[in-house]
Amino acid sequence: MEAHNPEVSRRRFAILGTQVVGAGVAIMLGVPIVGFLLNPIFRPRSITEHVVGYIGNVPADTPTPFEFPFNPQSSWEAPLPDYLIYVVRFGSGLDQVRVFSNICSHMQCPVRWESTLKLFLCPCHGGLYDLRRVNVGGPPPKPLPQWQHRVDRDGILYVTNRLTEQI
Amino acid sequence: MRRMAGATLEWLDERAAIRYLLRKGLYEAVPVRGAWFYTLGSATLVLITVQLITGIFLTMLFVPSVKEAWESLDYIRQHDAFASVVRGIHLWDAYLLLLVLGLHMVRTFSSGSYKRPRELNWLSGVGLFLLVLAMAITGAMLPWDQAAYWTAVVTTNIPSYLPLVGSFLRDLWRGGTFVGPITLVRTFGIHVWLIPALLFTLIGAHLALLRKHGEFGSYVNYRGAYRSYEGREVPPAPAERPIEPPYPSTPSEEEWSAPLQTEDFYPFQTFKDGVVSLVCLLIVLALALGIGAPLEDPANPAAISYTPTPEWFYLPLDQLLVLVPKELISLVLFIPLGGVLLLVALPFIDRGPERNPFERPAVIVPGAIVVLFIVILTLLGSGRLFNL
Repeated sequence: MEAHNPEVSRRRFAILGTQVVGAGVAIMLGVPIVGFLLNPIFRPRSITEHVVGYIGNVPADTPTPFEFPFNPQSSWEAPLPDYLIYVVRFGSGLDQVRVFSNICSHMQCPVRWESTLKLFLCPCHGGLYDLRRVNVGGPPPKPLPQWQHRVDRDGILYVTNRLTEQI
Repeated sequence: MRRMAGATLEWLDERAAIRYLLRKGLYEAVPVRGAWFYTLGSATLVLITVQLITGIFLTMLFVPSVKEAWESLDYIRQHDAFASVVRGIHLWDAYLLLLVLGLHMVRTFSSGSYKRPRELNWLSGVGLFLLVLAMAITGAMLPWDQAAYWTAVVTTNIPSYLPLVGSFLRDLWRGGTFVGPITLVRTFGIHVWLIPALLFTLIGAHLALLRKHGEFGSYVNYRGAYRSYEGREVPPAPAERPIEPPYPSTPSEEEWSAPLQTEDFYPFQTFKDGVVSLVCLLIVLALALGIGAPLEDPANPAAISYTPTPEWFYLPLDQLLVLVPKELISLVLFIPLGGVLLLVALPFIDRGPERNPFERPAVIVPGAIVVLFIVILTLLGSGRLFNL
């Protein structure tokens, strides 16, 4: 019988209408806002390569710090911070070069090479990594991340703005 | 002159009910005994209000950009003594706020004030506690000096240990995989608009609920505290004046629903509140003038020998990061989350009417153990980092 009562159906129409209008406003505001929050994460990043320098005189089996300008995000132009890398040469040739990041796999604090310990030490929570970047002590769950890189014929190291694994 | 003032008041009262609002705001019955302990809540409110005021003015000199954040603070450090004091107040007020808020929670916990009908007072308080912590940690990320940068790196990395959505939440906060320019503006927006909007809404609810049920105060104000003493009935202290709103005059659980003696909020409680708040502000001002707010070297991801140290209120969590074995690393999230769940569940677990803390060992003892645990973690953490 409700349907025959014009007052009730008017009321029901108004309730439904209010809900529809509310949902419409929420969608109209929500979609752009959620999109803008997510966009920087999924924005494609251009792969660039930076010259680090000549590494022919880096001593063998000794992680040696270098810096390279790294754009940490897909954002507007800001002065690029330098990131620290450890170049490690295993043996005498240039083909056995690895580039370790100083980003601790635990909480991303800056690890440092302790030459007396022959270990990478994280000053935050005491994480330890060996010369081959393996996490050998403390809380770090994974080895040190590495940067993609190449060494040209003249011994110049180029680092790509990309880690070889997820951090 | 007096007549004109009177006429103006009349005019306003007719249109905006000024007298009604004043009466509503200032006249209320509050429990008499232990009233100095009840000043902790109002001191918290005063300290938060100071944060709002100094924070508003800090936005008029601080530039939330990786290029200029540090520069702007370095400029005021060198050339603007007044702005430096405002920044110092903002920092030390935040530190004192965390302490006073903690004491306010301990007071509420031990007096059983979270019990029926004040469960929502407690829950809104838990929400406020978490929001204040979020304000503290986001605020510490803003100056973009070394301390702020590494706080940003470690703090935004913590959500990544949540299963499934962890890395996504980290990237969402950071605006990418790494910390960078977007991280700073996002955190600034969160610190300046998002959290305060929630915070002040919840403060409104917290105060409205306080007014609805009245200040509980302490068990010493209630008939229940005088039930029996070594087997004898001890007569309750005489009620000085009849029970009045907001306390129920026809109580369902008479012993604990209406205090025996009340007095007017204004001027008796406001006087005590004022004294404590004034002492708090004097401490803040002394520290702001004497020590000020530090500013380390500009953020530098390539610093080779920098040792990041957490803010002091972060030490328990930081020590947990050291102690938790790497196979159980998610515990650094689940232990604090469990603590928050316990806080939320408290008024629904401890439901008996008893308010006397000495009669509630089942709640007070675990609570004391949790506080002790936090204090020990803090001491261990400070010992490890500062060689104390």
